[in-house]
Order: sequence, then structure tokens, then C-alpha cells
Amino acid sequence: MSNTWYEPQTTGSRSGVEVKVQIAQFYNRHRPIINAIGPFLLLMAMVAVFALINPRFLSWINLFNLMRQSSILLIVSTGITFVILMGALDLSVGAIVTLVAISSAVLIRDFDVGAVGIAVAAAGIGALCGLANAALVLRLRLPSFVATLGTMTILGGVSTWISGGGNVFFQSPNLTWIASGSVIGRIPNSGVLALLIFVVASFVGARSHFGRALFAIGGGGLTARLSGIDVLRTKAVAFVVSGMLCGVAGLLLVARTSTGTSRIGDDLLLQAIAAVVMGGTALSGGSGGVHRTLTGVLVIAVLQNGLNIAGVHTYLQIMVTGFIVVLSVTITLDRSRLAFIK
Amino acid sequence: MLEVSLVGRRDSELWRRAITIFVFTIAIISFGVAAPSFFTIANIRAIELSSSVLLIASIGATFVILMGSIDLSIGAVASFCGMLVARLAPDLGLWSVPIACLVGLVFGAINGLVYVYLRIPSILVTLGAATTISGAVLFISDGRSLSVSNAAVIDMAQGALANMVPNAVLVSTVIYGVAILVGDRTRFGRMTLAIGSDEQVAALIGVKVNTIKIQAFALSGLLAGIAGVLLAARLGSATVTMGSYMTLDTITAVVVGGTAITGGFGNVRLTIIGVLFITILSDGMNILALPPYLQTIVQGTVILLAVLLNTNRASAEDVK
Amino acid sequence: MSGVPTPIYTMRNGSKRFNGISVVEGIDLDVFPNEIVGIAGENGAGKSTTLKMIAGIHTPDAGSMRLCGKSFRPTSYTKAVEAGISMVFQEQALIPSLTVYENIFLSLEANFANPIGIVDRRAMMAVSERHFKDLGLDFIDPCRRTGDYAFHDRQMIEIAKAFVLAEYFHIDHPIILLDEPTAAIGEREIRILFDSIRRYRRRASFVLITHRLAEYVELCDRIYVFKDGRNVGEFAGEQISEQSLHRVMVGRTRDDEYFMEKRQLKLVGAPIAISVKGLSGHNVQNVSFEVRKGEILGIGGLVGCGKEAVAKAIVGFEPFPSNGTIEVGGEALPLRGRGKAAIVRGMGFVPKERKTEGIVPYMSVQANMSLASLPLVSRLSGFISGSRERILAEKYINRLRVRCKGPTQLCQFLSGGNQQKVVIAKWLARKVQVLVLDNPTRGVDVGAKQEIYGVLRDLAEEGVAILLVTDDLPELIGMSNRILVMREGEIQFVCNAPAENKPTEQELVQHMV
Repeated sequence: MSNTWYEPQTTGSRSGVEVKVQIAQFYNRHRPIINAIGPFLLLMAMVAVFALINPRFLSWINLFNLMRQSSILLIVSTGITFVILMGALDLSVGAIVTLVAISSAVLIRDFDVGAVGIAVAAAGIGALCGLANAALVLRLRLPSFVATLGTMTILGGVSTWISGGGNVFFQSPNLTWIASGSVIGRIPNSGVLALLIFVVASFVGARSHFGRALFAIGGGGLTARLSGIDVLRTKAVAFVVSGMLCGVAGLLLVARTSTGTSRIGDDLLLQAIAAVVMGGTALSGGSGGVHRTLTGVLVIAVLQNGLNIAGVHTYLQIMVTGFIVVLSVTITLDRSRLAFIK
Repeated sequence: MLEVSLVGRRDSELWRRAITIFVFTIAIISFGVAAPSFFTIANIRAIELSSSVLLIASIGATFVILMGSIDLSIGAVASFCGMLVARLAPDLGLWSVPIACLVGLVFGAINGLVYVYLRIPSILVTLGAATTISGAVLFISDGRSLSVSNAAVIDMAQGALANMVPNAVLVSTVIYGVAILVGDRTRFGRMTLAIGSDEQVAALIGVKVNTIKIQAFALSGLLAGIAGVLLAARLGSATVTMGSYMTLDTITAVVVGGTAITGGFGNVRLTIIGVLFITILSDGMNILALPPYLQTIVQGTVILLAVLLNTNRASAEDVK
Repeated sequence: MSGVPTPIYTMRNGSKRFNGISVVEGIDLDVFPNEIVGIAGENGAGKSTTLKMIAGIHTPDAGSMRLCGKSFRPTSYTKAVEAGISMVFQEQALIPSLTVYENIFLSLEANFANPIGIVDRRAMMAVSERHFKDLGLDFIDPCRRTGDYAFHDRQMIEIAKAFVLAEYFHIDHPIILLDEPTAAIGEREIRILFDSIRRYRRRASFVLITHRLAEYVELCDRIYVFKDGRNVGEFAGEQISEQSLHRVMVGRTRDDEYFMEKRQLKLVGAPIAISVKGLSGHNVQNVSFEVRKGEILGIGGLVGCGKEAVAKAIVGFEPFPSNGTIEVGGEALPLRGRGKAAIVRGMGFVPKERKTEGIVPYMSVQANMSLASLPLVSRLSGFISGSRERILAEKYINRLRVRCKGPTQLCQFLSGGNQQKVVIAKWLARKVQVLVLDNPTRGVDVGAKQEIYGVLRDLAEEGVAILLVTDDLPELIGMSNRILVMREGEIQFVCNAPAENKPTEQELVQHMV
């Protein structure tokens, strides 16, 4: 299928056009490799740069810190990958995380719920939010962009309501241990949990019927339906899974800080989407995979951690992050399949 | 098949507008009844300010959405330009105003260029821009609020024509009028509609799609900048996140007004309905002393309802 | 036309390939002034591609074009328009939300705009109005929304646009290309369209593609016939009949072996696999038939006769507001959830648009083949086993001779014929009992076609009931045990087609037109 963007001119080409065409052809030919290796190379480059700036970057303490910091993003990004694979978007992920964090905090503080109960509640609330998203998209047939935009706002309001506008402090040694304790050596539990979830999700994405259905729907919804795949059910499950994983992330978040704040999940949205895209999953769905998201998450986590260690000013950090994210996406985005970028 | 959907759309469009206006009127009446202070001069002034600022920003959003794209950086640009004017006013006086607005234009143009030439979906470009620009706001303000201390600037924003029509309203009305003109009668306006409606056909017919896209984003940035400047000057001070509400509100306003979120259908004229609706809704909720969280929830519900009523929804299996 | 006419446009040796497959080759074509030229041919003969080459949408890979005696190499449709060639597209290149005059002048407004950029609407409206009057289209109001006008009126707007642009670019005599203009309009509108074309021919030349042969005969001064991407004949409109036109379009020495007619089964007392009774709705009326196990039932008819709708109704392609019952293996298929039920009962569907309905292009061959039978390639744990999937894929790659780099190659890189084989393999993996095919060999090269025919014969021998909906007449006749001919939603004709006594194309065509 010809990619008209790069179709060479038939009548007299200026050198500028020729060079552009050559670059484009090189890129096209090697695109699969660039997509697969690009983020990894970027990651290695960043690690090298930060290690040079401050050798403390590579210390065990920092690496464990890194694990802790990135575990939440990893879980959320894993969840949203399922949704993106099928060609949809879940903009409410940050809001769900916030909601679960605050609800958990309140449940512990006011109702003295135990650690196990909280875990169940967290996953449950997250799943319910996912179900709401699914209902809006599948029953009311709203585009996922709008539906999740709406739930994002509504859930934000609910979070503020529950928290009474302020922060919710609580004490729960069990919970803190889940996040910051260590079962294996000195490796933080949150990191272990996140990796576990990631591995299971990757497996599900690559090898389960559900995962296969996601790819089929993202790559050709009509074909999927005609081949007997239950499109409605698959889509619903994807939203619920995303919500549930956000719930787990919210639990971890609140466990780490022992506080429930109103805006705790806000940054996650951009970072999660960027991580997924950077890893090589196409925004239009149908290609990539859950296993790819790890690279994207690491790029962002390393970036933030590294900038911190390098002593870069907070404000500058935010600016650089936004910039680097767009930059990495530029390299790894698979444009051949986006007929019209919207 | 095409005809049926279009004719159906025509009718439902009229219905939609009728319903919106109907709900509108009911809302105004209920607020008036529920809280007499709704109809005081002070409140009307407040509504005028909020709606003027939001209208200006929403106009920019309208063109982008008509094209089928989205601009999620409007809030950040508004905050930045507002903060910039506060920063520059002491030194540059009235000149700080056009400079800050132009910065908005530049931001928008960069968005457009990245979108067109790096071919990154507008969601990501503008989301990334929003992050970067919010960082920039912190940077130039050092994390604090700044007051706009230049008298000339304040007068410009807080003054009123013949002491009756506030300058803010004047500015927004003029911009609105120009926008309608642009939307209906210039190539730019018609082509944004064409691109959003069927980009393939538009490109085939010879519409310079890339140029129009960049222009639309530049315009959106400019108007976001103007809105931010106006807001800061009018309030007399700039805070770090003062414009962030605009990102969501502009999209809501555009959609409630009747423009399709997917593009190709609607026009700038409709946006004022959405702006007034949102402004009055949130003002009314404030007067009724509804807690902020409830206001947010209502707003989210409004978005969903607006799109529900507005879109020609595809079959569930084709919705993405 | 006086003296020795010189053509206003010529193409010599025009050729075009897509993905390495030649779609048209060695095309020689002339268009004279004040002339209506027709290009006739079956689906896939290359008519539309040729038209698009003339319009600058496709660039010829070989050959040359001349317009008004000068070399003509448009790099885009816009350039062709500037040179005087406009096309009226099947899908209509008009933006419904814009007004009529805006659509006509879209991208040209620069010439009506004052320095600020505000366009002079009145001038644009005036110019449009003048042209509409000249063309006898007074009833079209340039200021109305284009979407408000019915399809056929919008067609006239597109034709008018061609004239407006011609005047604007100072072209005396534009060439207007019409790509299946009658496909979606009714009898009355066709009359109006044809009358208009005849009237306008004093100011322009027309090149026409249509599926109704009668229209070529009625309207065209000259008719080119394309077959398999080549120009095989040129006829004067007055001297040819529909029947002969069809014969030239389609007639090929039918090779008995090509369709393996010797393998056609004689079905005696075979049980009925699928039974359709009184199917109606969506332009289809009261269609009833049965297909036995091992039988290949072919349904033929012109484009739009309803045969595809019948196939889609049976497999539950979309919620088909239909009456009538469809029974598979004795049990009726439900109306809601028909698609799922059909698949569960052992029915498979090979759709016409394989890229969007048959395969998932970005998935591998093996993933596509296993798509309908995931449990088959999964382990006890419920997870897909890569090795089992690969084995399944290799089995069918061999059996169907799918040419690919391996089971893990992405389907988008396979040729059309091989992609189609993947679709068929998908259903074979499920061991379907009924297979419904909609134009399965469209856009498939000759070799692959025969391989597909072989597979169908294999399936029939295994007892699979096959419903073959096709536009390809020789295929219809050669493959089928029995043939149904449909016209305007109804079954017009049923006949047996035993290997030793196949009906001729003549016999079938007369019921189609």
C-alpha cells in the first residue's frame, strides 16, 4: 500500500525533496527495527548521560527508588495499553487512581478496614469505574475519547467530595509494608508487584484469546466481528481491566505516602499514554503489545529520576519531560497506518 | 444513504438547538428563583467576565475541533500568557499585552508545526505542550502568584465603554464577530470545515491542508493567550493554574453549542451558546453555594449529555 | 466534427501496476471533441484505474498522454483540473456541510478574495448562477447547503463544477469523466442525466463508465472494451448491441479444466445443508432456495441486483431487517445475533472486501488463520500456543499453497490471491459445513484463482455446502451445480448446470438485464 506522504515526485525533483525522500525511504525500510530498538537505545543513552552527570544515579538505593517511583506508572500504563490496543482511549485513568487512593484513605481512617479488605475495595472500585466507561462507550455509543473525558471529570469531582477538599491522613503499617516493605532482599514490594502484574498482563496480551481479540478489533473491527469474536464483551473487559489496574495503582500510591490527596493522579494520564506510544504500540490500535510498554515507562521514570538526581530545577524538569516525551513519540510512532493524523 | 443521514442530521440539529436553548432558559429562571442575588449587577458583571474570557478561548478551540483535531494546551497557554503579562507589565507597561498575546500565537504555531510535520496526533502534541508550558509557567513565576501592577494595563481590562459596557465584553464581542466572519466568509473558515468533513476529498480538490492546520492551531494559541491576558489583567493578578480550567471548558462549550467533536459539522456561531450555558451553569451553582466537587460532577455530566444529544452515533462495534 | 478530426486527448500504451501486479497494460485511447466515449469491461478490467490515470490521480508507470496535442503529465488531480479534465466521482468529491458555490470554488477562492482574505461571495454566487442557468439547472440555488440536495442533483453540481472551472482556467472544451454515475440513482434521474449529457456535449467531451450495458449502447458515440487490463476492442455506439458488447467483454474460451467441472458432484439424495425461505428486506424480495451438502450453488446477476445482500443476510453481516427464515442443519438462525449463531452452526463467510472484512492486515498469517478457531490452537490452560498455531498455519499454507515468507509474515504483505486463501483457511480450520463466498476471486490473479477453485471442489467433495455469489460469469457457470439469476431483488431464473450441459452466458445474461 503506497504511503502517499513519501511518494516521490515524477516531475523534476529539487534536491531538498530528494533528500527528504531518501530519508523517508531509509526510515520506511528499517521502521520495524527502529520501532523495536529505538526506545531501548534512547533509554540506554539517557542512563549513560545521567550516570555521567551523577554516579549516584546507578547506586542501589537510587535504583530501588526508581523501581518504587515507576511501579505505579507501570501498572497504569499496562492497563491503558489494553484499551489502546483495541483502538480506543481511556482518559480517566488518572482520575480513577485518585479516586481509589482517596477512597482507600478514607476507608482506613474512618472505617478501619484491614489491608486485605482495602486491596479488594481498591480493585473493585477501579473495576466499577471501568464498567462505567464500558457502559458509556458500548451502550450509549459515545466515542471513548468523550466518554472517558466525562468520567474523568465526574470522578474528579467525586474524589474531591470524598476527601472533603483536603488531604486524608491515615496510619496503616500493613499497607505501608505492601508498598515500601521488601519481601525479596531489599527490592521494594511495589516494584515486585508492578513487575508481576506487567508480566502476567504481557502474557495475557500476547497469548490469551482476549488479547488476540484486542489486536483483531484494533486492526480490523469488522473482520473481528465477522470471524466470530465477541467485540462488545472484549471491549467491555478491556475497560474494566484498565480500571481495575488503576485501582491497584491507586492503592499502591496511597500506601506509599499514607495520604490521600485530591490531585494525586493527574500527571499519570499523559505519562501513561506517552509510555505506551513510546513503547511502540500504535495509538490507532492493532499493533504493538503490552510487553512493549515497559520500555516507555522506563524512559519516563529514568528521565524523571535522572533529572532529579542531576539536581535540575523542578520547573525545568516538567518542561523537559513534556519535550522529551513528544520527541520520543516522534521517533517511535508508526505512521504508516495513520491515514489521517487527527 | 448519505442523503438520509444528512437530512436526519438537519432535523436533529434543530432539535438539539431547541433543547439546549430550552434547558438554558429553564436554568436561568430556576437560578433566578432559587437565588435572587443571581440577577444583581455584580453577578451579571461576573458572568460577563467569565463568559468573555471563555468565549475568546473557545473560539480558538472551535476551529481546531471543526478540523477534526483537538487542542489540550489551551489552559496552559492561557496561564502562561496571563503570568507573562504580570511579569512584563511593570517594565513594559501596555506593550506587555500584545507581546504576551503573540507568545500565545507562537505556542500555537509550534503545536501546529509539530502536528503537521512530525505527524503526531494532536492529542499527544497538545498534551505534551500543555505539560511543557505549565512547567514554563512555574519557571517564569517561580511558583508564586504575581500581581499585575501596571495601571494602564488594569485600566484597559477593567475599564468600560461609556461606563456601561465593560471592555472585556467589548473585546470578546469583537473577536466573536470577526470569528463569525472568518468562519463563514474566508477560505480559512470553509477549509477547516472541509478538512474535518472529509480530509481526503479536501486534499484531492487542492485544499492546502497543512497550511490550514498550522493556521488553526496558531489561531487557537493566539486566542488562548488573549484570554489569559484578559483574565489576569481583569483580576489584577495571575496565578500558576488560573487558566487550566479552560482546557476542559472550551471543549465542553464547543460541544454543547452543537459542533461535532469529530469535526466537519458546526460553526463558530454556535459556540456562544455553549459558553453562556457553561458560564451561567457554574455561576448559578456558585450562587447556590454548591460545593466545588458537585460542580465538577455536574460539568462532567453535561459533557456526556451534550455529546449524547449531538452525535450521530455509530454502531457500538465501530465506536472507538 | 468536420474534416479529419484530431483527438483532444490521447493515451498511448498506458500501463499501471499496483504492488507489482499489472492492473492495466498497453492502453491506447482517444477522446475527440464533442464526443461521448464509453469504457466497458467487467469488474477488475481496469476501467476505473484508466479513468484515474486520465484525471491525474494515478501516475502511469508507462506510456504517454497528450492533451490538445501537447504532452500531458499531471502530477495531481488539481493539475488535471487546471488543464481541463474533471471527474465526477462515485463517492462524490463534495463537502456536504458547505454551500454549493463554496464547493464549486473550494481551493480557488484565492481569486475571489480581497487582500484581507474575505472572499467575494456575491461574485462566486453570480458566476455559479450563470453557469447553472446555461446548463439548464436553474433549480439549483448556489447558496443552499450542498448536503440538502439529493444525490442526483449533487451529480449535476459536480458536472456544473467542471464547466465553471473550465471557464475559469480558460479551457474551451473540458473533458468530463464519469465514474459509474448511474450506480446509485433511479430511472427518472438517469433520463435527466443522459439528456443533460447529450445537451452538454456541444461544449465538452465525456468519458463514461457504467455497469449497465444498455447505457453504453444508448449514450455513447464510441465504446472501448477492456478485458483483463487491456483494450480489446473499439466500437461505434450505433453499431453494437448489448449482447455483442457483453460477449466481447466476457467471452473467453472457457477451459473445462479451469473450473474442474469433471469434479462436479452429482448429488443424489444429499441432505439439505441450508434452506432459505421468503427472504425479504433491503431491496430483496421473497428469495427462497436450498443448498445441499456437497453442492455449489451459484448466484449471479448485475451489480445491485441483490445477490450480495442475500449473502450478507444469511451470514448476519449487519442487522438485516428481513422477513423469512434461514435454516442451517434444520434449525432456524435467529435474527439478532445471527452472525454469531451462523458461525457456531458451522457457517463461514468469505467477504468481498478482504482487506477490511476478511483479514486483519497487521496480524500475521497464522494469527489470521486461527482467528475463528482459537480454542483449537490453545493449550489446556486456555492460552494460545504459538507452536500449535504455527503447525495449523503451515498445514493450510501447504494445502492452499499460500505464497508467503512464513506463518509469521504480516498479512498486509501478501498478494490479493494469497490473502484470500488465508481467509478461506480461517474457515477451513473451523471445519465449516457451509461456506458463503462473495466474489472470492475478485482482484485475484489467474493462477491463484484456479487454486481457489480446486479448494472449493475439495470442500464440496468433503460434503461442505457452498454458496457462491459472483459477478464473474464463467466462474458462475463453471463452478456451480445449480445457478440462480437475480434481478432487482428477485430470483428471475433457476437452472441446473451439470458438467455435461452447462448453460451459456447468453442464456443467463438475458435474465440479468
